[in-house]
Amino acid sequence: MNANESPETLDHDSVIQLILNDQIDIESAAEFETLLEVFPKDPDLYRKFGDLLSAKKQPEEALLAYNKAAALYLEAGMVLQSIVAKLLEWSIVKPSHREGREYHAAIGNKGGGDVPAQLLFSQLTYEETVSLMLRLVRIRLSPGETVYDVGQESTGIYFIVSGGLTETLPLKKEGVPPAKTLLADNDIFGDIFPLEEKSFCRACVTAATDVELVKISKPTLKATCYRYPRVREMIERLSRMRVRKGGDRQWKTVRRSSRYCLPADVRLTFSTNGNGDRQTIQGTARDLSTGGMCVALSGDAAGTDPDSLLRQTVAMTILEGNRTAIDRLTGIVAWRKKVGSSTHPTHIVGIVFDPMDEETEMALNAFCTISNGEQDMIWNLWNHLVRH
Amino acid sequence: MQRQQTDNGSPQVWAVGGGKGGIGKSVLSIMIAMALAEKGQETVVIDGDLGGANLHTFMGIRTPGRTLNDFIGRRYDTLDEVCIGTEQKRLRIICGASEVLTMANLKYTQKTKILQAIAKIKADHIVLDLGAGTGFNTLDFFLSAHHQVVVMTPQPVAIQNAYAFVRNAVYRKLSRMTSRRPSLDDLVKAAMNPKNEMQVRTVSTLLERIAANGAAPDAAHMAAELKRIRPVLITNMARQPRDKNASRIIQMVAQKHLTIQARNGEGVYFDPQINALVSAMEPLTRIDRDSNAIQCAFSVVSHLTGTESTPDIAVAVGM
Repeated sequence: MNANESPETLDHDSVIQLILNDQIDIESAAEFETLLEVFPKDPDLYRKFGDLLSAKKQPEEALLAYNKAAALYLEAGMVLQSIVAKLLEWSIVKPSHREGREYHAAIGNKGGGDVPAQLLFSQLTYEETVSLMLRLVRIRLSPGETVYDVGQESTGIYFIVSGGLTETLPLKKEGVPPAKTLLADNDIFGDIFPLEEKSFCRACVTAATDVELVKISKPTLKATCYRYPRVREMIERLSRMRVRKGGDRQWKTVRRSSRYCLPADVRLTFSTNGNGDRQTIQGTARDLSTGGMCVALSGDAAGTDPDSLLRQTVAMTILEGNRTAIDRLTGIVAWRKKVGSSTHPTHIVGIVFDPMDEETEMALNAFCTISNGEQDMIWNLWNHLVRH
Repeated sequence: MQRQQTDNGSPQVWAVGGGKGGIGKSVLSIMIAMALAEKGQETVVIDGDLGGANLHTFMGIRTPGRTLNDFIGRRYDTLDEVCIGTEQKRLRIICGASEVLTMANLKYTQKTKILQAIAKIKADHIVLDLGAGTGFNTLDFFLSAHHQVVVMTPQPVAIQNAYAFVRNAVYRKLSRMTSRRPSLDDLVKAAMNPKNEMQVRTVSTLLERIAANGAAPDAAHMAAELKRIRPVLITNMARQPRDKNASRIIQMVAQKHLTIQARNGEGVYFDPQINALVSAMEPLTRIDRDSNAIQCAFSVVSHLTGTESTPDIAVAVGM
């Protein structure tokens, strides 16, 4: 977390999300590896790890991280994100035809879901996939940066890998506010049609958050479509999809709050020495999953040296209000981090759960109940219907 | 209003839940119980929040002489014996108690004993104020009720908790139905995980998957049973008209993801009179009868007992 950021952020945000947003710095590959022990199935973390290793000029390790990220994304049905991770992997070592075909088959098996970019890539033939994949160019934007503005000549088509953008149509009438649409993960945008002529942008598209896009330039797409006419037809149809579906689209694609989970108070008990003396400290769970969790230790745990907790076995009790929600949970502290300012630090620990009995596992499942789709729908409806 | 027991003479049970603490479940439970009593129904309100029992304080009782624990601990044979009278005619209370026992560690036999004993209480209606949380025992009490009421406040966390409560109740029901069919039970348990690898994200997909696994009759039976989960959703402590939409959110998300038809009880406005009574340790039964809160409870009761014919509960009142 940046030094000037309020530690209160932890009251609301996921630790993983803060790491992905670079609000919590992970200093070394070794530290990231310990974090991945806690969240071994999070594709975003593997992707971030790959980026870190790439930046540190460790291509072989980065390749493995991207490979894992691509597999986990695909497992989660996030085809576009998987393709981008795969491209990064293959930019380090080129794939064989067999690997390429196996990956294409895996995309096809996963199916497209109901969002434009996923549908496109899951329906392409191997040749069509290769033709598009090899021409994707990655673009990163910060909040406020403009992709294109009204009247500019259109230069390509864009697929949103992560983040949110706003598409603002020009004023139609004086006094009528401009129509704004939120674009999100897996949307396709760009006024490229007709391909054979110059086309111009009808809206202004600006990044609302940190954004990652992939772009195919118009001349490249034109050449691909000439060779594979079906690609043109599919892109034309899918890029219209978000416009036609309007508000419904957001419920399916926006992951604005996918990492939000209900804050839960946690009691951690651990041995302070070899004599059986035990100490109990309190904290708040973040990113609670069935494999592990992060705990932001509360102020009264400040006297505890977080370093002494590393590799300690801890017993955990998850509380709902003043009652015990889940007991009989044990694990090992794999990661720790001090965030916030030096005057108001917050200590976070990442804990990997030990194997648990079926009842505890079910209770934990029940506790982490709400899926991303449900979360998104709740948040979108709350914004529309309740928020003042 | 005619006396309204079930066909076999046992009382109708109302369960008031909602996941999160501090959202007004206890107050609403008492209001519903008062409304029933005022309609001439013999009513008992039970503090089902055994770990954090405080329903009695809303009734102005400082230290209850008898509690549910006395029944579980076998000091009394029936729940009628641990009922305490209140200032409200035809309304009695069964207090919860102590830190000794919580719903989370209630044994199966104890739960069964309580459910059986509730059915034998000499009353027309039982209102069960459930504790916070989504433990199995809380969910089982909720699911066993004839009338299921889910309370939330218009805050995001309360809405999420309320939804999680309903979701867990649905999956608990499915899990109980498949407990003797390991292959189906595995599917249900896996689907409970919102990030399950099977890509099952909704109950309807789960039922399709079960049907595709050669268990179409089971899937149809489960779908029919789910239709019986029709909780009434009530937004409590609304301060603006928009706040009352919170229950609509759960209704819409539950319809899409859980395939259940929850009923929208709209909203209950924040009423400072409640706070004043609670602060003064005065029984809530002394609330003005023209208070929004009690009027809301009357509307809920009227609708659910079939004395009102509106398709959805149109409650324009509040607490």
